[in-house]
Amino acid sequence: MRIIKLFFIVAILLVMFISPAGADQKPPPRIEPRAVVRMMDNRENVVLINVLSFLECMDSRITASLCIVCEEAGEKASMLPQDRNAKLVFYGGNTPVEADCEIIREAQRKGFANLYILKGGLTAWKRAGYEVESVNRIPRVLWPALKPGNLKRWLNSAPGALMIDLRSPAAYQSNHITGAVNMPLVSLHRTYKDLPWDRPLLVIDVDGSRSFLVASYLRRKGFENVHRLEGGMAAWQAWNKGVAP
Amino acid sequence: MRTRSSSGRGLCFALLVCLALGGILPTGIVQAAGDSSGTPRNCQSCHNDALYKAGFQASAHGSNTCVSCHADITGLRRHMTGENKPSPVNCGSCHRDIASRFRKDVHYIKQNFQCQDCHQDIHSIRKSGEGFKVAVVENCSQCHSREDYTLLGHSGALLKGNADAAACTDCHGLHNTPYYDHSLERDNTSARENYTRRCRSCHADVKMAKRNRFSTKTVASYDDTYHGKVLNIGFPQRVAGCADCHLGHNVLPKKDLRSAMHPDNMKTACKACHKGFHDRFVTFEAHPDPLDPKRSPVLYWTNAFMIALLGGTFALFWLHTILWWRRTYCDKCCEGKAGFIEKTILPECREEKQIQRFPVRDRIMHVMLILSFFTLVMTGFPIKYYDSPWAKILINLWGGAYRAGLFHRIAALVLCGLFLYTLWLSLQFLFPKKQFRGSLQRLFGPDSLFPNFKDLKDIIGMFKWFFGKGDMPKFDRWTYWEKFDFFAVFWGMTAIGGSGFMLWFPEVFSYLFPGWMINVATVVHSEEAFLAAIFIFTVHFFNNHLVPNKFPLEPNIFTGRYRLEALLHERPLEYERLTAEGRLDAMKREGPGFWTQLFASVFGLASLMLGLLLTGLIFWAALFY
Repeated sequence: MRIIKLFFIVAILLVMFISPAGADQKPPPRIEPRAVVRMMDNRENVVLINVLSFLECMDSRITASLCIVCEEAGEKASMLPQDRNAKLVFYGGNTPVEADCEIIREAQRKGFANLYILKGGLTAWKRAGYEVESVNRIPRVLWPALKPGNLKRWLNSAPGALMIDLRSPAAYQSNHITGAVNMPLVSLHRTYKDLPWDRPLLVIDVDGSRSFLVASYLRRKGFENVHRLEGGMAAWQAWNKGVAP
Repeated sequence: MRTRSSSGRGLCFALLVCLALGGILPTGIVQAAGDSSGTPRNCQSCHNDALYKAGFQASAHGSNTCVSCHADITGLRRHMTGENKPSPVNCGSCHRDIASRFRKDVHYIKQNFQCQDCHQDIHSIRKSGEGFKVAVVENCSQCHSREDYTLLGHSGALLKGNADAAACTDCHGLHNTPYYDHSLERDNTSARENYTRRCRSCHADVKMAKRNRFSTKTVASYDDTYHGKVLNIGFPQRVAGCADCHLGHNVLPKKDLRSAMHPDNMKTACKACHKGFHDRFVTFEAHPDPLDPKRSPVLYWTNAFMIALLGGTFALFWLHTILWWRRTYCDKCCEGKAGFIEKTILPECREEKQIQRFPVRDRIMHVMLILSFFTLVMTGFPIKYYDSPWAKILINLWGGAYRAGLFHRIAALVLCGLFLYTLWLSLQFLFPKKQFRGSLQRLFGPDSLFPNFKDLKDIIGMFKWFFGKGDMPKFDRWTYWEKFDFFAVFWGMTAIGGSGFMLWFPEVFSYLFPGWMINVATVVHSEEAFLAAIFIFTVHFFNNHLVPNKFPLEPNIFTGRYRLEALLHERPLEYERLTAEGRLDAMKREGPGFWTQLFASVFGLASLMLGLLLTGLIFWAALFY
């Protein structure tokens, strides 16, 4: 009986340490844009993966990149190349790609050995002067942003207004402007149809850098009264110290 | 936007009509379809909105054909049937320079903007001419809230038609608005440099200032502060540029509650760099004017005092030096003509007995004093004269402004240590073994460096000797100029050291003094440093080394020994006193060894030459920059 108990304990420990799910995967190293270009020039098998939202990826991405959002790893994991020796370079916008991004974990689980995160993301790539492509570019619609200090006045003047929080559900759960609904940017190209056509909309992102594209997208889709919060939640919190309007 | 959508629908409708009529093409259209020249007239057969007819002809691009831009429309028939859809226009094929700059523009990098996003009226765009700046503001305001900008004085002047007033692009650039990642220090530094340069380009422009009745002193006074000097020397990482205090668009008058310059709000700006200061810290003048007694009376009078101190000290001692040199040179010439040979160069002079003048402790202290003093001068004066050609070279010799600042502070601490140790030695001299009896005699005695009545008589006697009205006074152990050197260090250390610590720890001192005392400290530190450096490199060097009978170097501070002959000649009272007291024989020593002499010569001469070189550089900067 004692031997059986011991066997189970050892077996459980082995499973914990050996199985990929329990393994403590190291985050992929960060790589400079110049180094990626050098690998491409050397005709190495480099696959670039844009983990931004579908809208952003279609609008601007490094040429021939795959568009796989972090959160959609399960659905799009099949898009990863068959060659396990391929060098996968993940990139987002300016903010660094999180090491716990699901598609990176999925690639690690599948046994890809050469994973990298592009340092500085698409922004650094552009700053370095390298080309990008626009598969389905969203023409920009020019419209002034709403300052956090004017939000309360605007809400009073537009009582039916709907605030759309574009951040992840986790970020929305941690804090949000009272009355805002969560509609993550990663799935907005599918969910925008649920938005009311006749109400003023206010799009809110993390720091104001992505809401411009979303506002343009929604306007092109026929929503005529779309506004954006300047500086996003970061500016709102800085201005208001988290107090609801 | 509605107008644009309508025009878009109109275009589509026109295209559909053209397609529908494709089977029964009128003669004119058939001719047009056969002609792929892409002249506006051909295209306007379908694209017949007013925009493309009158608008395009009068636009900046009116002299072009349609295919000049829509170059990929190669077959009109295929285009009309929808097979040949035009791809986005590449404006860079003509506007290469703009396209090249735009690739570094924040709108491209962060928002993936293309030309047509801002220039949506591209088919009717006209050269703005005089209204260019207003057009720029209107264009930028399509996305960016105009709220901040309209608060500015710039906007009001611009709308009144003042072409000098800053539009968005004057500060942020046109087609090259830089992108700054504020999480990167190098980007923050670049931003600070860029916006300070942009502000300066107008606010330091004398002609523009005259036209618009503002003062360029704003820039000049900023440049005279620690912030300005360090930024200008090429180290903007840790100092405030214009936008750090004025917070971007907020350049409202100081009295306005919304102004970043309002004392209640200024704390926010100061806190970005300074931590833990008292509220009175914000009374620091970022644009001080030491020549305006009404605005800053204490600063004005401090500056006046320092100028008087410099003027008085140099006037007296340079006159003393010139007269001394003239008298000694004349004497040497006379001796030379009479056939006398300088004894010091005779070999037997090196063999003769010497007198111990300085113990090893004093010699080490002097070497440390020289090293720390040179370090302070070579790291501090490039900041004082940041715009002189040698400033950046000297700073780079230290490995940049940050390291230079570090060395400056280390040298300051060494000097402070020497100063405190000297103070301790002075107390020991006055109260040996804690004996207070006889301290007054010691204080005014011949071994003391404290000035006494004889020094006054020696000064008068010396001036008489300069003019041939009497013999050179007989000196004892310390001459009056040596005593002045010693006490100048006490005064200098209090002034430079005190003000230096205030500049080093401004937040701490804000609990003792108001913020404007930092401005006072800046003036004191800067002017006193000038006085100390130039005094040492001219007066001290001459009195002790360059005077003709000692030229080129008096090494006794390094060797510690003094020639008996020199003692007899230069300090006869000391010689007589030592002889009378029977102490002379006990103080006799052999001449210094080879290595001591070599060190004394090399280190001493190198210090002299470096000092003279620095004097030249300082005068160059002071006179021409």
